[in-house]
Amino acid sequence: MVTQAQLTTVDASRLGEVREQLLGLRRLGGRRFCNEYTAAVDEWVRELFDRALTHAGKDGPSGVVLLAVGGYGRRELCPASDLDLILVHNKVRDIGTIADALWYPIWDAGLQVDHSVRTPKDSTTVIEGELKSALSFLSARPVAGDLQLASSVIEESRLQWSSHARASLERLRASLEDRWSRHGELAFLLEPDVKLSRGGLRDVEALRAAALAAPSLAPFGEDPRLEVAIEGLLSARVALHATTGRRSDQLLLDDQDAVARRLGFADADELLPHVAAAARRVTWATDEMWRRVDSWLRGPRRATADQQVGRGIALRGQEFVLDLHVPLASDPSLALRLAAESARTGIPIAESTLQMLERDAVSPPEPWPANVRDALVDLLGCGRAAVPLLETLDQLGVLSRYIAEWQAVRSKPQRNAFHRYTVDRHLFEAAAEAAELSRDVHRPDLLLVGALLHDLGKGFPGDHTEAGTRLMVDIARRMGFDADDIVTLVSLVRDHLLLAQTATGRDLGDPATIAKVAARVRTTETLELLAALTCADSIATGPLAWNSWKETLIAELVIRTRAHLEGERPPASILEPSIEQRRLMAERRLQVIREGSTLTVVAPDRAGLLAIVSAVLTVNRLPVRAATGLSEEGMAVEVFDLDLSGPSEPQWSRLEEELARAVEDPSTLEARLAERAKSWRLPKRAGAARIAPPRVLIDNEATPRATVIEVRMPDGVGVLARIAGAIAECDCDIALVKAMTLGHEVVDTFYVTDGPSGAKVTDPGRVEHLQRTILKEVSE
Amino acid sequence: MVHLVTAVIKPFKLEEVKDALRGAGVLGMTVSEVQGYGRQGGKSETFRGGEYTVSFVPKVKLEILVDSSDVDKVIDIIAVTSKTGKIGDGKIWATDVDRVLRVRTGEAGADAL
Repeated sequence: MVTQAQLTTVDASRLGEVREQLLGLRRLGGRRFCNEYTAAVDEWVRELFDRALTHAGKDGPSGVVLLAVGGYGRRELCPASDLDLILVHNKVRDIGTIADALWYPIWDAGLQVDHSVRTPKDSTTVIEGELKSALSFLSARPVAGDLQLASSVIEESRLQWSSHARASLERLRASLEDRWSRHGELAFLLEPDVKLSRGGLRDVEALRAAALAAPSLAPFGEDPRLEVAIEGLLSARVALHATTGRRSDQLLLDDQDAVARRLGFADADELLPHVAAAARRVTWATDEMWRRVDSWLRGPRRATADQQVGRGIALRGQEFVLDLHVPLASDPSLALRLAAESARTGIPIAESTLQMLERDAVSPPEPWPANVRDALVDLLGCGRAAVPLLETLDQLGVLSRYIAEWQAVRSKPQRNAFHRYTVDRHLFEAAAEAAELSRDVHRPDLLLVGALLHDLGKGFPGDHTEAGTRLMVDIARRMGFDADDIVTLVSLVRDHLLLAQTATGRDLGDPATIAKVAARVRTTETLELLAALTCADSIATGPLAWNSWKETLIAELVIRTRAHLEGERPPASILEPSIEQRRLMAERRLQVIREGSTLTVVAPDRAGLLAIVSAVLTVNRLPVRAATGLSEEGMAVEVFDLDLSGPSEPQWSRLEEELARAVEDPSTLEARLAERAKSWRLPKRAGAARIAPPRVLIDNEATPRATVIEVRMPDGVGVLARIAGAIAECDCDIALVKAMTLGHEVVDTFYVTDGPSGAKVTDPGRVEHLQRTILKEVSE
Repeated sequence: MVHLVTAVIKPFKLEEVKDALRGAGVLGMTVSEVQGYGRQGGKSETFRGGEYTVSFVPKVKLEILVDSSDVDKVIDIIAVTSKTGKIGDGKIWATDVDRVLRVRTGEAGADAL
């Protein structure tokens, strides 16, 4: 046994001096600091090793080698890093003496050391065992001792790793996912861990390890942008260690300004986007690598013909690709529709297609065409599944081609004890939470767009609510919302804090409080949207911002304000035909008039007319975006807003003939509708959006003369025709219809009366029958 | 001697009470978001389409350590400030405190306030 006194003879103070000297050179950067510091440590460790051999009475290093592994092995030692060391020996006697003579002086020098002693046989069994040990052997390099022994151990371990590439990669992947779930995403956390968070240095290590397992699938060191990113992370880590003197790799708010100044940034607000950009690059490289690896792990697939999924989008094998016959520039909705399709199904977008999006995706014209707006709402409506797709669009620079102002909130940190995410990610999260609440509001499209943009003002000078309100006026107009919707969207941004602040800060029992809120909110529709936005915003902010205490207070405020608003609500306006429509109705015959994407059908009313007309549109591949209709004195007028983005130009004259025939004899329609609805559906994958089931509400209180049926469900082929058919089947007449498709969500309202009596449907048995019939029809 | 004054008040009165106490020289307090019911009981209403039962009403709880000679003054300030005259205004009570220690300095009793 040796004593500590005998071993402290190797001078460690020089090492400390070198470290301080290197840290004094602030312009050194991350990689160069690490290299030079590693070299100094190497020199010192070599000296220790020689002394240890001498101490153990060995003449030379034959059969013993000291391997540096982990960060030390990669020459990435940061100021407070551990030294990871493995002493490998060929059954050398007195190895315990040598080991003691090595580890003790390192401890005494105040360095943390992660150490082990192994034989070459141990080393290979270690590789079969724990992943962490296997990974450390992959980064091993000899520091001192028997170089021949070192290379045989290192070669053997790499061979083990690559010859079992499949198992190696699967284990690596599992470990990554576990770590990501525990440490979050670096780019979006306000207190990220530069090593362990997703996008951090541990991910870089995994990229290297994957490259060793399957070099052709996972090349490493060929991407200069990745090299820049690694340098960014390393220099942040060096600065963090230098600033705090601690081993922790988490950039805490308290330390961020000092770390920023060390790196030459003004403050944390400048530092964090820089670190986030680096992390995003690492994540990007990681995801791309796993995409290739996963497809390799799944094995070769039979080549299949492309399946057309939507205009310009095809499914090729296991990925979505762009149909090259539809140039990206010709359809500004394409990038968003592709992302929505991927979010909805969990099927990834091909890498080549992503590159095409990055290069060629265009900004939409202003105001946006309806299908672009729909595509955005559709994507946002996919909820949590949309977040990675929105990230991808942002990373490709596509998102800011739609909303130029987005640039200002990218990776923008926020100083607030409640928040856990950067502004951009908070907005994605808020939209995802809002999607969960979309069935609670009548206009999910406004809720989703409001949630996505409510904090955009944080990227601009001045009060964020005021700035955001001004931005929304402009953006909502560009997006092509109508005047009423712009007013609603603007008030969502202006008042996004109103409910939360009033609920906790004002007397809810005081009528003046309620009157004030009601005056700001003005309508129950806006109130309902604000309540949902408040909830989504709070949940997305972090666990401190939302709990049952706040929810109860906000619920009370909403209930009281709604009661106040309903008390002074004017009677619901009744839909009336225009003068032009009255003129057409007076002719008392079937007429079809088309103007752009608007189709007006005037016809003598009959049971199931709406079902027939909408079924004809469906079998002619003309999806209905919105519809209104009413019936008066035996004549019905129905106005359809059609989605004309389909692959082929509709044949209008044939449609008219078919309508005339179908109204006379609808008997063959049902079979054709069923055929059309059967057209293949995409299989769902893991990670696909969770779609809520259809919901049918029947309300006999809303108006005096009719029963109101509200149907909320995901859009599909011929939904309107099926609901209208079910209502007709229950012997009810549709007096009025208002149907909307908002993104992928259908919001249809029917005012119906009992066929024979013309009165409300009040009998509980019939109400239930009506509800059941509709649900059954749309669930099939 | 030290007393602990505990008050359960309406949430929106918190800022006002805090300002009043600070004005009277009370230097620290602990605030918690709590839920409970007293004579006010719970209530049930509809919210977002569903029946919404509020069985516990949200309140704010204040805990304030004061020198025993100040107890009456502090209770009085809280009572006056947090009163709306309507049901659910809350309650205030005071208890004897056996010992107090300031962690950083080790000061004890009234010195630790």
